[in-house]
Amino acid sequence: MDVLIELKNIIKVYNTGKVSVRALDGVSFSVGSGEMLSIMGPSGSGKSTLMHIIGFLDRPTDGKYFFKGQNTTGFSDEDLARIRNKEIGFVFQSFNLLGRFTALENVELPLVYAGMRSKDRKEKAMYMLEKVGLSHRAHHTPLEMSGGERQRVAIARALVNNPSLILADEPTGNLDSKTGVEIMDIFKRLHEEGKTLIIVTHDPEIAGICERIVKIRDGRIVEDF
Amino acid sequence: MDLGVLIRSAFLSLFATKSRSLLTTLGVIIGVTTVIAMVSIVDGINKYVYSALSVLGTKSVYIQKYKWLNVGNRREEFRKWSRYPDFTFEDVEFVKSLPFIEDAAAVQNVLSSIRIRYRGESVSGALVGVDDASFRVLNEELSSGRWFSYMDVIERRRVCIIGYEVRDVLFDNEDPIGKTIRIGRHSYVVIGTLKKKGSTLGNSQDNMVYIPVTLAQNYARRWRMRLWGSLSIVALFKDDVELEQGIEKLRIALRKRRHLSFDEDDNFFINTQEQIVSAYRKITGGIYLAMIAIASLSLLVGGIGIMNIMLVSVTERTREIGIRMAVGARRKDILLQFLVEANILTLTGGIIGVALGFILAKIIALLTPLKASVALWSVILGVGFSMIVGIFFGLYPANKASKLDPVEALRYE
Ligand SMILES: Nc1ncnc2c1ncn2[C@@H]1O[C@H](COP(=O)(O)OP(=O)(O)O)[C@@H](O)[C@H]1O
Ligand SMILES: [Mg+2]
Repeated sequence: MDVLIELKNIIKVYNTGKVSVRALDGVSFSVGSGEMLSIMGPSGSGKSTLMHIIGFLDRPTDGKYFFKGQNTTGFSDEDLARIRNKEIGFVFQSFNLLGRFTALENVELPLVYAGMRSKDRKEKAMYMLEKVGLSHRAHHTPLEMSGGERQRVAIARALVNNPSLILADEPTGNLDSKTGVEIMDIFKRLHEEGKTLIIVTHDPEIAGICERIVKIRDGRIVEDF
Repeated sequence: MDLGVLIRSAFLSLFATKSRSLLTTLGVIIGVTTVIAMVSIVDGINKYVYSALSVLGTKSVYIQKYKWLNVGNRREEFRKWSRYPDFTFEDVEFVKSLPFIEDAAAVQNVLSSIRIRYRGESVSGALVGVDDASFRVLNEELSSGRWFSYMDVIERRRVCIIGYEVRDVLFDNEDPIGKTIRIGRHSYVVIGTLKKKGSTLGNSQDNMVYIPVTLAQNYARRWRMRLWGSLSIVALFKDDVELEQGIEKLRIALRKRRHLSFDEDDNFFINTQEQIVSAYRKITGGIYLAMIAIASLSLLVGGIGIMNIMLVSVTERTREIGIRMAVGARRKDILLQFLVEANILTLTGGIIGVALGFILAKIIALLTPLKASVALWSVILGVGFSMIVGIFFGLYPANKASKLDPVEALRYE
């Protein structure tokens, strides 16, 4: 199994006025290609911060992050944008869809920034919506959809550019338990297809689906099995 | 990035705040409307003036003791000019004989307003003395009768040719040829009538009364009109002679004839239509300048409005920016998106402004004798300026948007 990402002593410090918060305090771990792991921990323990750094939305204050064996420390903003576009699929708790655009256009968005032609884009986005069972809702806006449908659109968007890593930060946090199970079923299927997934969750039941659980507290990994 | 997507994105967000977007473009609309309307009005005036002037013919020049449209110390110069030697009929013959001159004629303005009577009717006319050659040189057209003969001129016959308006008022349906009219205190026999000419720059050209120049000189002498009543020579250059070169040759020939030494100034003037045109151009240049000032002011105000609203938009859509960055938008993609949006705002304003300006020009054309013509360059200028405003004032908000931190932007409520 290839190592996809490797974190070495990652530190993230937030400076807000006089107090500085050590959100991550020396996190080291690696994730192999095709793994499905969950990150658990109390609120404020640094889970989101970690996900943002793994997803190249943020940079660590200190430490090294290897992605596909490459040290990402010196990457420019443009490099990071390219990696976010091609390598990472992010699923948020609050869906983060563009409200004025249709489901199809939302799913197309990563392909727009990838520079793909309109026709190919539409085809690929439609295929992804089919995969999450929403092709019949392609021309509706998120405002016309239920929470579960929105999260499926968001998953389709995360998958559309065929990323090597899917990150989900409390993807079922805003959903009822029945819909949450449906979403987790999709993730399970993706894992079976060989995708690499990291899922942040509070729900032990959801974490139980994953083969590996990383527990984090006060910015440190306290358990990894 | 895909331009179609950019434009659709821009329209989606602008339409979401329709009335705000429209109000924002108002400044640009006013600016561009001003440019288009003003340019077409000035252009209309230009065309009107130039066509009026071309009636007079541009290949002819007026050799006179005074200068047209003088702006110096009038009293002093008038006194000086009065002392210049008068032109004579021999001078006319001399000019006529020059190799580059097609023809020349003597013309003497007597009075711009004199009572002309026939039976019970009376009308005010402009009395001008001309000779037999003036017919060709002044490009006159007769409606009936004949022009002055050489004999009419040298024998000082009391005959006259009347303009369309004079004939219309005095004679109704009666044939004026051979009838005797009173001009001031003297009687003249009408030998010809002129075709209708209309008016030039608001002056009627149809109230002319021509008499032999030899008689006109009597009036001038009697009334001591040393300057305005002095004899003018109207000269017409040959077709292959360039106006400027012709004028220079003519000047040299006249200086020689008057034995002026090289350090003496000319004691005559060669006046041309071009002088009027260039003086006129100076005025319209001023109008253009004022117009540009008004337009740039409203475009500036419009631009600041655009910048303000784009800043608001960037703040409102912080989360959207975060989402776009999360799925791979580069900083320059975000920059471009907001620049395109600002430009669509100003461009829409520009296009509305062009349309309004065009309508305004049409309305003015309906209400005045001016022709409305929207010049292509003013449209390009209007649209171009609104784009420049969009880029200039859109840059700051767009740059601000592109500099946002992805995580901070996603966190924004
Ligand atoms: N932008 C920020 N500025 C200041 N402090 C922050 C910021 N983001 C997160 N933190 C702090 O860092 C710690 C970890 O936050 P977070 O990673 O969101 O935790 P979790 O996702 O596990 O709830 C918290 O104490 C939080 O207050
Ligand atoms: Mg969190």
